[in-house]
Amino acid sequence: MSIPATMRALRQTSLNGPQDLCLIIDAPVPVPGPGEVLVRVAAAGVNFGDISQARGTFLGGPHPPYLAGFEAAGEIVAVGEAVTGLEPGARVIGVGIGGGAFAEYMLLPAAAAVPVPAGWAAEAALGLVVNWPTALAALKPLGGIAAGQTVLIHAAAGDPPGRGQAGHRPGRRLRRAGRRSPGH
Amino acid sequence: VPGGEAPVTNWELVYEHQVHVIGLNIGVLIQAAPQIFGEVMAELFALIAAGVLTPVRPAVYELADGPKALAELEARATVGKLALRP
Repeated sequence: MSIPATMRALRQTSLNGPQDLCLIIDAPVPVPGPGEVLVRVAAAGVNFGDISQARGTFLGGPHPPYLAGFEAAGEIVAVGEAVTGLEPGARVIGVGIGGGAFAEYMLLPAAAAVPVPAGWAAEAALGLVVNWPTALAALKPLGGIAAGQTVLIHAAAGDPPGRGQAGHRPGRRLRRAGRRSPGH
Repeated sequence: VPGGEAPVTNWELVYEHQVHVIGLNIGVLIQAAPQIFGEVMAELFALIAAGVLTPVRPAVYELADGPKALAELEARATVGKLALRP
């Protein structure tokens, strides 16, 4: 499949929140530079950070207008110079700090492109590089949780999307009595 | 931040609430402590291999419905992971 010159994408035009997130149909498809891969996005992950960026509260966040979204899973369709170990056709998931995940194509740093686990649909891997590591980092290296302790997970049903749920599963793995609060 | 602002002073932490508060943003952690992130990712893949972490079933929205998805997320009206399909 050839790569088109333009694509559909969601562009944030203000810092007034998602109400100013607009679909455009003529965004230029980016070209991978050195160390980058171009991914045909199968599914983009929505994160609370997207809200923070749209409200202008994300540290070092983008300035409008910008192409929104930073987490995507899909198939590599082109690789830039100095990329080794990744070929077109590979299914990957990753976070691109340059944004533009809410689009048909997105650039990822090759170092940030993690293989989608074998047998998993691309969308099923969403969270692998955002929500899951956040939950696990909070529980173990930062939280120092040990067996027998109790974990209270705020907003475990919802947002940051999936993160509460993500925290709950490793929590069970660690044989802890996880308690989920009703809201934020 | 997702839960809102919660100002707390060092005086309060010393005298009134002797608690340990840790902030965490995964992007900042990757930059500040890449070795910890590497260990976390290694453990994640071990948990996947062991069948503990299983495929996610996100709620999927069409790309054009992205603004709606984000608005619902901001309004705390959603459960679990959300995805946009371009």
